Amino acid sequence: MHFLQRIRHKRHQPEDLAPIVVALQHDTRAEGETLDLTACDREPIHQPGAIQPHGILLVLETGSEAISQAAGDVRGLLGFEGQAVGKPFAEVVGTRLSELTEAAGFAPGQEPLFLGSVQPTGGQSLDILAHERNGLVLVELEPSLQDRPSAARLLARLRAGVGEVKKAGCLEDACQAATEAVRRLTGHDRVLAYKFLEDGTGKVVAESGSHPSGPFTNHHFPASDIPQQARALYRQNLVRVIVDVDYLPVPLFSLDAAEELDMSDCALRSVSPIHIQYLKNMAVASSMSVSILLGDTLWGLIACHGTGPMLVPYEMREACKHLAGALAQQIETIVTRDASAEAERLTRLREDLLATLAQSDSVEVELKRSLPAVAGVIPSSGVIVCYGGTLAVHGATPSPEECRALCDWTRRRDATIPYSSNALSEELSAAEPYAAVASGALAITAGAENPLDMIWLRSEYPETIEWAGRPEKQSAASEQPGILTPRLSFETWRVSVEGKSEPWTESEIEAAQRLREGIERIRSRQRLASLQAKVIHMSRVNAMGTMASAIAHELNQPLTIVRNYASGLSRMLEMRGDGDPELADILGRVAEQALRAGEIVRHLRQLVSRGEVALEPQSIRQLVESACSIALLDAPRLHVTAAIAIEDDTKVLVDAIQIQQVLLNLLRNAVEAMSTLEPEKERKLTISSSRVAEGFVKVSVSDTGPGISEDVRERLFSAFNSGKKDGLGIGLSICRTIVEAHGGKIWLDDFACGGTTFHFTVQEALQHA
Amino acid sequence: MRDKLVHIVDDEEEVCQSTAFVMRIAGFPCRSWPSGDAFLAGADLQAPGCVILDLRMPGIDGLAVQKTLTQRESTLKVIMVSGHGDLSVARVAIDAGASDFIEKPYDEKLLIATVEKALA
Repeated sequence: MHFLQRIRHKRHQPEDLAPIVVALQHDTRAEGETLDLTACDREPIHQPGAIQPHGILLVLETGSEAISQAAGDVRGLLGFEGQAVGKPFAEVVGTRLSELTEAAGFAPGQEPLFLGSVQPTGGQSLDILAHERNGLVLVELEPSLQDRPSAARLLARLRAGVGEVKKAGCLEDACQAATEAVRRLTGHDRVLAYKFLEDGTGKVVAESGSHPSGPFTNHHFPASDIPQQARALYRQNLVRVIVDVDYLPVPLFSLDAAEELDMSDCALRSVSPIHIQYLKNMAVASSMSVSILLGDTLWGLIACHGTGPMLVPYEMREACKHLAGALAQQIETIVTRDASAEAERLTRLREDLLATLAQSDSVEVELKRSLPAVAGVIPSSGVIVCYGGTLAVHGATPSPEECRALCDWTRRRDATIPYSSNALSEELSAAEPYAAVASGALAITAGAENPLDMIWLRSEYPETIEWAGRPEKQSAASEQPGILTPRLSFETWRVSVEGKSEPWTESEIEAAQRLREGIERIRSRQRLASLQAKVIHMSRVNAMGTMASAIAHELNQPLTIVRNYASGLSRMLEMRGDGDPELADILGRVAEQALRAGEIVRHLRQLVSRGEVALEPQSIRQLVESACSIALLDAPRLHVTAAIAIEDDTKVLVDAIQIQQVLLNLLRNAVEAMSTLEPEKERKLTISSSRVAEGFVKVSVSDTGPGISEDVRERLFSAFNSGKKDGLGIGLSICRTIVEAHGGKIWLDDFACGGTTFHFTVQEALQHA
Repeated sequence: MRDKLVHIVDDEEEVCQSTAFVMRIAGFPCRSWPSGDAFLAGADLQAPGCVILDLRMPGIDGLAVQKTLTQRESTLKVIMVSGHGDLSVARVAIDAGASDFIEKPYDEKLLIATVEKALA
């Protein structure tokens, strides 16, 4: 039999005592290219072509009993003399593989399955694991633990550990419970829980036990410590064990030039020499890491370190995997709960702020008053509010000039989405001098015409972070050309992260956006309300003209009568010639004063003279809708609902401005009447129209207000009579004057149970063909 | 001139009475009417004389009365009075043949002079 024995992986020649040097000498890097340990990212760690020496790997084609590839000490561990490759499985292991797989229910696509144990004569008991990949069955034999704990004891420990994890109320406690449980299970000297942060760096969040390399809790690790392909592998195969960092990799032997064997799921897989060096630098002799997977995301790792070689048998690894799964579940629960509680808290703060702003007369003024509340809406160290050149700040902020410049700068972008950065000085060099107080900025601008800027600030990331090593892996290239050494020392380096703040989360940016929208809504409402006040004022001024005309007539009639009688009487006295001269004089004065009063009325009328009435065909629906748009601005706030029931698009012959004044008056009266109702009472406003006799259209405005008392009703349409305490009392008299000038009538229905309906009629416009 | 009758048309009775009082003192025979309709129905429109006609009245207003008088070829001269100060309407009234337009309240000397002119 001819064996083609081939070393599958030259990089791991056992006799080579400087594996790292070798690894890098074989790198394909072009000359002159800077040395960069991200080269680790390119190492095919799932195809090392070698295993750790404590076990045996046998590879067979699916369905075959003949061993096609093998690695490991078959003589020492199984007592098998000679080369395993090419031999039947049973000859090497003592049992046919098919017997084992059938008994264990082995199927392709599974994770490595425990097939049982084999006890070689005079040797140590070996566990047999198998999994299938790419048409090959990979059988791993590894030493069982001597005096292994009973399944009952293992389950009890596991159960206790899971129980502790599930009891934890915060991430740190859950991780702490998990590290302690893992350490109790495996007996490692130290167990760390390591969490990946958003930027890929890692942080030690919990630690159990102790190790000569010192405590690592709260240390941060650079992202390059765990290369990309390692992270990918960690998502697939959840547990890695290095029994002894001083091991010599055992190469895989093959019958023929098969493809590189994918050992992703192998427990015995030989690991990257760079990783080994990394561990050695930490004085770690053996290690295990277990992935913490949240869905498909690698949330973190449980990393175990031993001061001496340490075997972690199959059932122990499975127990740790299970524990990590329980931890992942607990983390998910806690993260979801905390996120929703925080989101709820921030939402409540934001809603409270918006409610305060909505009730104020001016958003801008109120915002400045409520700066602490503004700062609280988004966790921040300072806040800037800038409007129309005036600046208000709270907390830690740059100088006023710098704040203004920052507002000007952030305003330049698209104002409809918030601006956010946690490294402001990288984008704005002017921000460098104040990076300590403002490395993070989240800015919104409300309103395009009169921009209102709000910026939340975050101070520089907690000035220094404890890194386990520098984030830039040290390159000793200058000393040893072509040789790259991983960090030589794992003493804690204190590296300041300059110009960076804690990043803004999506929900914080979302919260800022919500606030911006809320403020814009309130501002536009306030703008409309002030417009409404102006329109109402204008309409009252306009209506004064109409009113003056009505009053003139009312006053001129009695003045005419007084003048007539007084002057007639004095003429009478004069003609008789027997009058008292004083009496004649006084009568003359009475007549004179009547004329003078007439003059005053005339002047008044001229002061507020109204324009000519311009009767034109108008859509009654448009008139009503446009009056409603102004009169009902505050209806939602007053909980008044409005229903417009205009039968069809009838045209009426009116002066649009004057009839809108009538509508405006009636609508405002209705809204104001209902605003005094008790909260539980219905507040409904109905505007309807219908054709009535002789070419007239009737418009009706109904409310569910308290109604109008009998005595008020009699005087209702007279001038200077108001049922409202702040009313001018001219509203309805103007309405009457306008409606009558249009040839219509105005009247009201009052319901005993409350509610009032005003009706008025106007002429229908003849439809032209 | 004193045989010519002065008609007074106003919807307010006191206005009619007081105007009639002034006219009587001034020596003009006069008659009051509470509305345009009553005047058109009861007065002799073909007799010489004049009418002091209020512009704004319920029912048919001053302009409508004036129009009817023209239609019926009345010999009565029209003196339009109004407390509303509607100068644009005054122009319409004058254009339609009114002798004059007087604003209420008026100086009775002006009214008497206007009536004398109308009856001349």
